[in-house]
Amino acid sequence: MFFSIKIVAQSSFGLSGYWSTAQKQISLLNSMENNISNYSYIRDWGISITYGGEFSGSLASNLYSLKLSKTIGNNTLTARYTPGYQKEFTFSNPTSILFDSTANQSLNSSFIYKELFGLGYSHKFSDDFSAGLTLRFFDQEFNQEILNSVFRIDTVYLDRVNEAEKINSWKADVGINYLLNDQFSISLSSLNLLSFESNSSKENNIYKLRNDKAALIGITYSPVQSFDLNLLYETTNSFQASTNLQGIFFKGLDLGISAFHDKYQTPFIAGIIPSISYFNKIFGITISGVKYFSNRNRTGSFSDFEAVGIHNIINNRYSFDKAVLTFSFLLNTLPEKEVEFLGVNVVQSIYPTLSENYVNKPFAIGKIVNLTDKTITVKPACRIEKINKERIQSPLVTIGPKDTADIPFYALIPDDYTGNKTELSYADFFVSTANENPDAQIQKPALVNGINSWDGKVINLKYFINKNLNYSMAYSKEVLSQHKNELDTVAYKLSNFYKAKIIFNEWIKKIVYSSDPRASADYVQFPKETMELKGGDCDDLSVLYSSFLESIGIQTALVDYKPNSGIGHVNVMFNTELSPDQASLITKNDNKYFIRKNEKGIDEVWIVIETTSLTDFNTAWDIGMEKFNNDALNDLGLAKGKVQIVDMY
Amino acid sequence: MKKQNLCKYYLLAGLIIWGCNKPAPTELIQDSQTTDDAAQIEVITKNINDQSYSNGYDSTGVADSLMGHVNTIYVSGIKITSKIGTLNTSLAEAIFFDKSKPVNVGGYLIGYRTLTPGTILFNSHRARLVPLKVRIRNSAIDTSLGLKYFLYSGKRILLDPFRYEYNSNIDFQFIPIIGSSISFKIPTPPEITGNIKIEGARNNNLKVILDWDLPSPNRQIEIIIGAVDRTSGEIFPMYRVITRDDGRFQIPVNLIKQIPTERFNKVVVTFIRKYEKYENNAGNKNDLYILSQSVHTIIIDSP
Repeated sequence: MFFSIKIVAQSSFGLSGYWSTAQKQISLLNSMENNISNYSYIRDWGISITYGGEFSGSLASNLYSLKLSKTIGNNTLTARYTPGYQKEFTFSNPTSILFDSTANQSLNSSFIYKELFGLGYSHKFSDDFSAGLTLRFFDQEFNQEILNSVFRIDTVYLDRVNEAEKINSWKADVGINYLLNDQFSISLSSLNLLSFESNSSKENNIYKLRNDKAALIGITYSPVQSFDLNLLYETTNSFQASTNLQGIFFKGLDLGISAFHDKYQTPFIAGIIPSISYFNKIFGITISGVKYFSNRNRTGSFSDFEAVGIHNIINNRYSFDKAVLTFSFLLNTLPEKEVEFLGVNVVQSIYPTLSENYVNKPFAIGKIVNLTDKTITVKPACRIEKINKERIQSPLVTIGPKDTADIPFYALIPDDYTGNKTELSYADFFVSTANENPDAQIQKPALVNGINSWDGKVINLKYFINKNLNYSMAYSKEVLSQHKNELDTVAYKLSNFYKAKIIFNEWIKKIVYSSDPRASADYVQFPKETMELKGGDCDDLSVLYSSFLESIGIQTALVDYKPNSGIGHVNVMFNTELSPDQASLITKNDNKYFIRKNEKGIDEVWIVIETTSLTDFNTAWDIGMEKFNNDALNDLGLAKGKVQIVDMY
Repeated sequence: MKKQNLCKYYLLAGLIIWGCNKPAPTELIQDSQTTDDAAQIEVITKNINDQSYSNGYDSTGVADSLMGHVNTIYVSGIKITSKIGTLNTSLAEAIFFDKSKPVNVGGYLIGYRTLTPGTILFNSHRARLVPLKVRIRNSAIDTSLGLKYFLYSGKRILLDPFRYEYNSNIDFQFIPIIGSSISFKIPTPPEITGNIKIEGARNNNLKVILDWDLPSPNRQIEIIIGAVDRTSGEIFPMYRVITRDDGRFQIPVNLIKQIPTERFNKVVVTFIRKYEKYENNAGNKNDLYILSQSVHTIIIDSP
């Protein structure tokens, strides 16, 4: 014989009140009820024990909850055991047994609502945004004494028999937390999104915890760093408003007070939850209380209960004032973060062939801050996707206490890198201190060019020249060996000149001039590619010829004719190693060579070859020297910097 | 960690865990005036071999458990509905005791010797004097108490001209042998007509729902639940239910299901709407119990 009882499932009430999610330590006090997304700053392990008592005439103490959290990377798992989350109602059925017309024995019933445990998961997508879900397990017992008549041979009597039904149910909800800026943060969660329960009889169906769907919206406003205003609104028209003061008397001491409106309770503000909390890095203690503004009795009217019911196991019209003590422990087996990134600026794109360039010159500059009160040594490292499998260490940097510093990041391009497409990749930057695991890391986009890409600086063509040096050496030696007889008759002094001449005349026969295959001024072929493609533009042919000469020990330099507008030009100059006095051995024309001092300050004869002439050596020599004399000497190009001689060794 | 400190933590943890008790329950008080099926249920016949209540014409068999002890004036209008139809009967009795002459049988006080101090009239019909039968524990019928005043009429067996009028008054008159006569009116309750509705089956969500007419929710009604012996055909009243006269009552199903069908093949439900008055002016000697009741008994096959 039951009655229509309206019960809605537990929502956002927490025994320690509601605390700002923007504050790292104290936000741990929020319970699963008001922190559906399990938003947490726990770095490793977190344990909290909530113990307290309710003032129901006599003090009844309870272990309200035992919560364990573990953070792995950006994921946090939480498990909560809540033996004290229960509410029991007892009442007498309207049916009673009359004994001997005098003694009256009622049939008793009880409804027991329990929330036994909960599981939570949270994923931090960024420092500003996280999302998570909560699973909670409820146990509901409906005990009802019923009449049972018993016939024993010739005797009949009435007996009371307990009929019990247990209904187990799971509730699942999801939520997100978003820190808009330093002043505002918001949370959005579902209430009773999904529920799963064991079978129940039709009779008890109406007494179960209700699963009315709703939304929970939380807003935190922090006008100053140590002061927060919070509002938690349920779309079922209940809300909590709270304020938190941090470090008001000394660091670590926080005060909070929450007031809650429950549409099922009176007065409009049904009660308050004052809290005082102390937290340090590993330990926290919080004392809070729940004070209701209406009188609370151990008895109640069944008809009132029948009409309104309860909507929350630990916070309803029949709940008593409470005092609660919460111990929190942060067991951190992970090293404390000592350094943090403020940002990273990628200062140059990656040209893989120019690998040595990045060993000497950082491709990115990071700004980091020392979070500690001591001087620390930071180990920077980076890894470029598509290029590196391992982190590439950069030089150590020492930073003073609380200081910031710029940190250079260097790249290392493996010799076997063969990527020929230009792609937008990502570079991961790491900084670590005493430990192997990085204290901080950040990812930035980086442009990785193809291996034939060139940054337009002639000095960097040497990387293309040296790329296939073995190929060039083999080719050059093969050519020279075919002209052994000719070379054997040449004076040793002239060997460089004649070797260069023989090689030029040999390869030039196979080559035609062509623009960059991809119509790009910044595309340079490796020597082997040029020979295979049988063509190239000025930089391809200059790289090819220079590579042939360098491979057999002839010094070369590239002459960089900088453009007034449009595309520049480059040709090859090589060292005959003849003295100016010996120049007449190769030419009587003083305009066909150029004197340069070697490392010892001795003058040597260099001649310029225009590789794009695609004629014989002598013609290419004439054309090359003519252009050099005109642009570099007559027009004072060398003096003005319009023409530059770039040595390739 | 030092062993001593460890012990402190164990002690603290133990205190917390062992110091726990359940949150205080809230006791809900039944204050609803509209609660359906609020009832007091009493076993009438604890020993189903004890047939003292079954007197053949009062199907309820519960005219009064005080019979033999209290001076009684008793009028009833009784309807008995079974498969064969409805039988209407009227009954009037008056019994007076001499409290100075107790009658003991086998060491038990079964009552007092009766008195016949004059003439009793119900609606001007003179009551006959018949033996007062009391069935004692060994099933023997004892008539040693004496005589009682008695009137009875039925449709098929018309013994006396007395008619019980529902929702009316019955004129009672006592003309003593010596002295002046005493008369007064005995009010009678409205006629009651009940109905039994069976839902489901004995092993499948059985519901036995009673309803009756002319409800008067501010008063109470008495319902007697009994069974008919398969062999003897006698009625055994088993349970008395006192509930609100609101026109509906669902019998706790176990009361019906537990009646052994191998012995009882029919269920009997009796609706009783009654007015009663008890006066005890001079202690136990001049007590007087006046009862008028409208009764409807329905006999059905056991569900």
